[in-house]
Amino acid sequence: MMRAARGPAFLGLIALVAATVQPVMGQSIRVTGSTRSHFVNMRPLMPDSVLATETRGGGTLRTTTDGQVVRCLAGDRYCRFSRSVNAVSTLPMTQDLRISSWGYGQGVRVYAHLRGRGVVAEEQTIWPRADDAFDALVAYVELDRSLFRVRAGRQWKVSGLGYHNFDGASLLLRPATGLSVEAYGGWSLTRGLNEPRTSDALSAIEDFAPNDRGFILGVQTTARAVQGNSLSLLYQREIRTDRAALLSEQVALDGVFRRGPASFDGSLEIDLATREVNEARLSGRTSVGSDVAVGAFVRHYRPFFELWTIWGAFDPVGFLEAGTSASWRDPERPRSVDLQIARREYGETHVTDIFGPARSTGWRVTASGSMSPAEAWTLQGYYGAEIGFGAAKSQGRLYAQRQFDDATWLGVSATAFQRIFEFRVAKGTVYGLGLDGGLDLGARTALSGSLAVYRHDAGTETPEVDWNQVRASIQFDWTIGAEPGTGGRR
Amino acid sequence: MSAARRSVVLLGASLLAIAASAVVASVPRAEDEFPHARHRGLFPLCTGCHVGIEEGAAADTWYPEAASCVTCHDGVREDSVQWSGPTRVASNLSFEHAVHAGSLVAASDSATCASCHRDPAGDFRMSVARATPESCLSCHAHAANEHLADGRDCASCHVPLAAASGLSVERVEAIESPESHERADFLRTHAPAADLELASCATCHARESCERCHFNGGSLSAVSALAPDERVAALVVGAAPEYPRPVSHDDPSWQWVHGAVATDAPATCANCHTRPSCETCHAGTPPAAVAGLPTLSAGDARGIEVSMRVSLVHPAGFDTEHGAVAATSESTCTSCHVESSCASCHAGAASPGFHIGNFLQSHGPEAYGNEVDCASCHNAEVFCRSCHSEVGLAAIGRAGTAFHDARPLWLLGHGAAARQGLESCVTCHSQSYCMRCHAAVGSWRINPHGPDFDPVRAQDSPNKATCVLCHRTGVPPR
Repeated sequence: MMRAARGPAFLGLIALVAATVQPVMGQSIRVTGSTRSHFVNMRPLMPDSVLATETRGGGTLRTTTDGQVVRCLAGDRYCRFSRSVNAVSTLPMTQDLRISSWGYGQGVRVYAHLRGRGVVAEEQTIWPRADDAFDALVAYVELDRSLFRVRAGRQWKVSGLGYHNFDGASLLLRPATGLSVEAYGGWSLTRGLNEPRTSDALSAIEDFAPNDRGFILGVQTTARAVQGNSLSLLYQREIRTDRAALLSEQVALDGVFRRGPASFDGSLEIDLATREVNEARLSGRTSVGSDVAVGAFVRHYRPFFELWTIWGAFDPVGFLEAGTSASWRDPERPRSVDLQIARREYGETHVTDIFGPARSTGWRVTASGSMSPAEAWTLQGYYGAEIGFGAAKSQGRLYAQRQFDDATWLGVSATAFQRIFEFRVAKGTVYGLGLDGGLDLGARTALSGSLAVYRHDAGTETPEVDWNQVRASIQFDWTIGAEPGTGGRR
Repeated sequence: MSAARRSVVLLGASLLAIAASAVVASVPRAEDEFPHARHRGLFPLCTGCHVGIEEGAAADTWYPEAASCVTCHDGVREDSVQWSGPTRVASNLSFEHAVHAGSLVAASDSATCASCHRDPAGDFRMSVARATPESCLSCHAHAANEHLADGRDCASCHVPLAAASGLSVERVEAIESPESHERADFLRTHAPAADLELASCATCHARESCERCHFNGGSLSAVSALAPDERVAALVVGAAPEYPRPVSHDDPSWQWVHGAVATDAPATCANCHTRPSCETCHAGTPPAAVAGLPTLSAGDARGIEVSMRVSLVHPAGFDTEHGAVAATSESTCTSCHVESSCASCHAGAASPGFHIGNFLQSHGPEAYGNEVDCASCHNAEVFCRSCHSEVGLAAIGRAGTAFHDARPLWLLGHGAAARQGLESCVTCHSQSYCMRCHAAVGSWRINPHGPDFDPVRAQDSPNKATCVLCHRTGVPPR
């Protein structure tokens, strides 16, 4: 079944208009577009059951005659399990337009990042948000001068609290070299969603979604000294627009310090409403000679939940993680090796588990490397093992890329990963083979794509869980219009 | 000056002029060389045959007419000959016999033609040979004894290459390189020398020699002072430029400090870098130092071709650990990254590529471990839960289904797991799902609060509405 991709079509019309309208009075416009589509094919799970009398073994966990692990509760005639159903596929399309226009006076710019979505496939809902035809991720007017910057409209805020957007205004003052103070406020949008908290997208899946929008107010001070040393302090508060409740109140302190070949950075996030430290991270890194770098980090993490949810009342515990890393870079040739190992330990949950405690520690190890064995060839390898709370896996990847010329490249990859669940029995090894490539169609257009096939070797334990999958993607990037500062040419 | 003395001086000057003429001519004499040895008893003076050379006569008159030979070579006493003298071959020497003769006369120098033209191996009176550069060095001060050794006075004997228009492309190409040019640090240090001794550089180089690498030659006085030359242009076409790596660039912190250096002395950067070479990394709003570099047309030398090796700019893992840098150094980030660079990952799942291939199937451990802040790009409820619902992972039906099948009676023992991985729980379970058991009213009334829960603070909370979700009638009394 085909469904018209209204979002991409709408944005295509915008691009056409932008490209054909002649600028007047020295104004210029540039439109950059990314048209993407990816094919997803998978087999969803669904709950199923089998008569307890048709299972083997005893106790809670049993197996069926064909090896399926099932759970049998005392008194229940049926044992239950999840199994994969018929494969479904979808072909979501995304059209991004980034529009920048200038020439309205010194420092004045209009910028927008629009996104259209559509689905051309039989299964329209399998991909999140694919049914949301249009989003304005950013749309603002800016006046940027040496001493200040003013923005009005929908805009991103990048801070120690993350990356989110809001509808409102911001004023950035630069009273001295390296020193800036920014104040911003307006209607907040849900982080990672780019929609108000009253959005249907949220209320459709959450019974207690907010019924009122939120106001956001924040102040950030940043001081930046020479050689990249910098410090930032942010205070941010969100309340319901009816002022009936607080949604969040947070402080973030971030710093970067560099001294010669060494660099240190730290982050601190504090939830003032719950008086909890959500993130405290300190890391350091230094070069040893011209080609080796070593680093270490320590991190405390406790999840942050907005106050409109009940999750904070469940007293989530955090973990303390420490790790070290080493890197080797050939300064003359593109060859490198990176190693990282980290261990984390969760806080006390104060819960007595009658079936034994859950894992309270975790490890992860990664090793990666790249090299260029011959001109135009790049080889990359990666291995990672994650043994942690909730789930574990071991994964490797080999990738080779051939650059045919400045405009054309082709790559082939082989992957394998083994999933070992702690909270699920399902185990298996998935092997994958992929192909990707890119082609620059002139200075301002590029085409890229990928195709990957994954095959699941389930052994005999979980024959009904099928992770076989085909993934494909294609992307077309283009730019039309002028280039600022270059008289219309690069 | 007496007549006798004047005659001696003139004689000396004449001999010198004749001898030096060979230097100017650089003549291949295989065919036209005069057999001086066979005539050594006949001619008392060089100027007897090489008439006028000491007075600046044209080069085509330096040699006697063939008719002069008829006096002896009349076909009777001696065989007839057809001799026209050597043809002068162009050179880049600035030597003029007449000038030298005049100078020598003024200086009462005793130099003669033989001073430069005597064949050191000859043992007869008229054994002559071409003058060599060493002949010049015997009088002209030089820093070393060899012709191509270090020195800065090439212009004493040579005209600029562009003025030596008679030299062919092949002869220009064959000009030997001085020893100094072979030193490892020559390219890094040649600029001051070029300014000081431009005339010496011009002996062998034209403007195109420099512009092969210095695309900014027009703004360099030393380069623009050189004349253009088509022969050099033909020789450098297609020749790869050579750019030495400055010592400063080996500093491990160079990537962080080069901005200040570039701001202070952008012209220095422009010796090797063009705007495109900076824009390899500085793709965002270009710093002033970058904006000041020339934007080149097709066919121009591009300077250093910077290949963007992000691994050298950002350390390993930076893609997931750049939060502090991004939060404090927006102006630095925007030197290389445009706003949409951030949005390409953070604005939702529209740009595949951030995660390793097949992350969709394998992301469980990373999500449980919160290695990166998933919420920075994905909304846990809308993105994660809706997908998990579609593929059958989210809890939508009765409690106690078999998803968490590795732990018997999961429902009764999930407390610790929930406290440790509540963010993961949220990606499948809604609030109302958990409230089936954990609400204070209308459920199993299982208290979800841990020992760290502070009811006093909850009562003081400005968001008591959340408490009402479970407690219905309001916050329980203290």
